[in-house]
Amino acid sequence: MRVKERLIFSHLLISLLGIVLVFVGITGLNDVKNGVDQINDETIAVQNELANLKLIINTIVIDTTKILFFEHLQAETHASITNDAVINRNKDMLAKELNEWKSNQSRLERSLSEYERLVLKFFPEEKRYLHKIKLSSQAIWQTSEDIINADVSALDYTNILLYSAKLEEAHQQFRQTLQVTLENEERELVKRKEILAQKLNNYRAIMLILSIFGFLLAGIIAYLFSRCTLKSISQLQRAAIELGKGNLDARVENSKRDELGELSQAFDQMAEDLQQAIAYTLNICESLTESLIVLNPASVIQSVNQSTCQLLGYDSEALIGQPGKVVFAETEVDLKALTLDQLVARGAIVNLETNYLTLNGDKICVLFSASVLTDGNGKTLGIVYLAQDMTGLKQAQEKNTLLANALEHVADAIEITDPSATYLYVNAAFETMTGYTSQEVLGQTPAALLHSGQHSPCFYRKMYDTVSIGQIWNGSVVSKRKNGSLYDQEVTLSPILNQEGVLTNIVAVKRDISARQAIERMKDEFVSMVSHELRTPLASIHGGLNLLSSGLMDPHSPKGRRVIEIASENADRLVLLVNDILELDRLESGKIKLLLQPCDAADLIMKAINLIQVMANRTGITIGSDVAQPILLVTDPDRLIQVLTNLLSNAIKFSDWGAKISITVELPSAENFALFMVKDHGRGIPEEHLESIFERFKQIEASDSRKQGGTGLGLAICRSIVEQLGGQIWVKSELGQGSCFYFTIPLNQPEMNAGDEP
Amino acid sequence: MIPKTILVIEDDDGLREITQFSLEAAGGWEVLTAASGREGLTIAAEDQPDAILLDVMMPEMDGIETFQQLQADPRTQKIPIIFLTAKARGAEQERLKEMDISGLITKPIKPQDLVDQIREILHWPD
Repeated sequence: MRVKERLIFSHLLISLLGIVLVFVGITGLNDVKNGVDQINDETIAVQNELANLKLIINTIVIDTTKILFFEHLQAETHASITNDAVINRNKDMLAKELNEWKSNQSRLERSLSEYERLVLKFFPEEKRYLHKIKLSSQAIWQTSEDIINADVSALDYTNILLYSAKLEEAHQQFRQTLQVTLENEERELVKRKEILAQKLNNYRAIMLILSIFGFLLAGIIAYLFSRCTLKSISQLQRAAIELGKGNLDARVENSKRDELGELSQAFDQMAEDLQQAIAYTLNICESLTESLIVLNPASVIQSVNQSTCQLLGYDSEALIGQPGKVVFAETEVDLKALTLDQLVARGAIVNLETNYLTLNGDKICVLFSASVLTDGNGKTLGIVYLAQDMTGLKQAQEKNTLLANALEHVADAIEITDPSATYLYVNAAFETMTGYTSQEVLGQTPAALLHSGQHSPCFYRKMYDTVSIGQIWNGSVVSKRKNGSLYDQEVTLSPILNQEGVLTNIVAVKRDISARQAIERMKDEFVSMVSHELRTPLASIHGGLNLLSSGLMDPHSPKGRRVIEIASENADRLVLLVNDILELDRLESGKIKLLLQPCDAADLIMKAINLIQVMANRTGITIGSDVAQPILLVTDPDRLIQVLTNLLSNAIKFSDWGAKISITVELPSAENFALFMVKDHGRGIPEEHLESIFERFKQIEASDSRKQGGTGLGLAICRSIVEQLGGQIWVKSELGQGSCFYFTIPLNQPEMNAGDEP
Repeated sequence: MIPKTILVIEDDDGLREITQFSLEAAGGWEVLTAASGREGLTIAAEDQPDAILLDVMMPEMDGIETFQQLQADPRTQKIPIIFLTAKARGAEQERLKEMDISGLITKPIKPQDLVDQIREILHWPD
């Protein structure tokens, strides 16, 4: 039953009890009052009727006396008076009195009857007095009737007195009886009043008992109700006190369905919610990967989470209660900045990098924030420190820095774009390779900057399609630098896909292979050239000898002899070519040992001219030499003569019939080398070939070697020899005007001076 | 039966002569020779040979340019052309084969084999 219902019930019960008491009291009082009224009414009625009866009896007595008088008077008158009028008037009066007397009989009977009814109704125990009253009344009536019926003529005075005496006696008897009856009734009345008084006392006693009973009942009900209610309140109070002390398991556990039960259940639910909220908060704190430390206003550690324990190597019990300085590296952190007042003034410290001290005394770099902990009224409860271990982050930063540095220093250009190929990042090598700065390309696309026009749109579409489906694309791409020049690059496009497999970025690694391509082309050209240069004479030899050996041609015939001659010439050519190739290989591989000795440059020039003179004579070339004085130098004379003859040979080959060529050597002032010059007036060398002609098989025309009888390796051999002798070689030329080859030879070699004997 | 006429365009004098002798002796064909591409164009246009054996590596006008000019000239564009090359690299040979030539013969080669290959390429009877 609910408290409200219990209250209503108890109030109703007490009210009902009061009503019953009041009802009983009123009923009792009414009963007494009614009894009194009834007694009064009954007494009055009986007394009235007795009075009436008395009045009737008196009337009967008077009427009887009057009749007796009138009869006597009539008898007297009749005897003495002859006047009829008087006699008749007496008779009339007598008759009237008789009529009156007769009417008294009926009144007496009715009065007696009424009296009897009242007595029987109200005083049945007084029937004996009723009987006496009736007898005395009837005695009066009988006496009166006897007097009325008496012989008038016999009425003398004596009889009249007798009759009067008898009537008086009966009347006296009646009055006595009446008096006794009245007295008796009076006693009866007193008796009844006593009974009523007793009854009233009884009622009072009952009322008192009922009142006491009602009071006790109300008290019991109030006690039971209070006990029931106070028990719930006490349980609630105890649970509230326990909860206030921090016992989060405190519960009322009142399952009643009344208001206090509901209040208790609400309290339990509140405690449960509070416990869950605190557990939730604790879980949050415990699940934090950051270290959480709470100091009280006295800078004593009040609370830590698991991450703090793991970070510092403490148990939480060992850490709680310790001063804060066991954790904070006092030497490195301005503790003044951590004091409560300072912190309150500043509000909070955010992302301050410092060190925490571990149990072992090690310092751990952390990034921490501190804030003041207050209650709802603004009272400071302590300081909350939230710190993140920076060790991993530092390592990650170092790793990122390493990777960033690697990206910036890698030789290959690296680009990172979004899926639409918009640049997000380019490294330094990209800038070097393309000429664009990073700021210029970010936000741009390769198509807008590097498009060379050397590839079809289909080429780029296939490239993008490959990457967009998550595959790596490799290939060579010709791109355009900022200055408009083209370059070859080897490109690897790697897609970066997210977990859903959607393309998020494209990483391009590009290597400038222009130089490699040039080398490849050079190599291909060289191989082709060597192949061609070897196969061509070989084909002549091979074909010619097969013509002869197969019998298709008679070796003694003119054609046969010509075939033999061709084969022989080509065999010589082949030998010369192979020798040059091997010579160059030995030179470049350093397998040829230079034989250094002091010599005269002019003498060497003369020796070279002598060696080439036959060739010059065949073409009508004149070789001029103007060497004014001996120039002594330490070098390998045979190799130097080889260079000079090669240059002279070339000059002869590329000069017209009868032309002049010159060779000279001089000592530039303040220099310690000799400068040799071989000049012709031939067709000249295009500017773009001035460097390349010193490379192998790099004649201006591919067929020069055959047409001019060379191998295409002469200048390469010259350069190799000059460089090994410590000099340099170059050429100046003008198309149609001729060329002049220069080379220098140091006067002294490190190992030997010019004055030394060989 | 009129013998086939074949034009040999080869800048190397010795090889050109050896080739000429080989085709004449082994094939029995009439051989015209040209020492350069430009000379070959003239001879081809004037003499209308049945086929042209064209060296690839030549000075001034190389074999490829010569081929292109022969193809461009209505008088010579229908003459079957066989490249003769000493280049050994397969990639270069593949590049040459991609051109609209009748065939490709690599030097050196025996005279009889040269004739046999030409017959096979041009579907000439023995």
